[in-house]
Amino acid sequence: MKILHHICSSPSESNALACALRFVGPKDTLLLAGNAVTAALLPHWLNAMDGYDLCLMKADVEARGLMTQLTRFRQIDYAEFVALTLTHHKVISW
Amino acid sequence: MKAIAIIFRQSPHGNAAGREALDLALMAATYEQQVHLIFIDEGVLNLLGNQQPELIGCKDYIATFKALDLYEVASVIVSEVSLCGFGLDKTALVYPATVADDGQIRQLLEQVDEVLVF
Repeated sequence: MKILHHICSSPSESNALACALRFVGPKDTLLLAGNAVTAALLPHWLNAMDGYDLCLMKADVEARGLMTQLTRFRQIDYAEFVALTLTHHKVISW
Repeated sequence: MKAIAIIFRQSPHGNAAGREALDLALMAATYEQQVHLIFIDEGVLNLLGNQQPELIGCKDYIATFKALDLYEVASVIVSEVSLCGFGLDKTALVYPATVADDGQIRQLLEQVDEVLVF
């Protein structure tokens, strides 16, 4: 069962990412959008997200000028986001 | 008919999340959808007894939790980890919810058709 976990608030704003990580499964995908992309800058959260399929919303990374810091992560555009929602059994927006 | 899981993850009264989640749950149940309520993190505090939200000018939707059976909600689940984390146990709750571990909650999230988080 593959679930797409969509998180769009930063860990300092809300517990959404922490909640998602409690229920994420091995084959799930974590999509960080909006302020959640900042989590990919923090070692604590990178360790917590380690081992899961992680991708960031490209527009949100570029909007925040974080391209150089976050280049090593898979970044997707909106079309790929829609594609992801179709290749997973369901989407949970935390 | 769809199976819908509604997750309460925020504490009550500070914002309208809890009230909105319950409104959606009761509405969906009224339209005979299969509704599952899941309380995790600070969301478990929604079910705590002896609340007096009117003291801070908030609507008392907590009382409505006692009437969940009238709406034939499919299941009401509380995260064991979160409950213990706040030093609470089942007896402190206004509804006899099923206490579940994270694995059981994950299973339910897989089974239902839709998951909405408040």
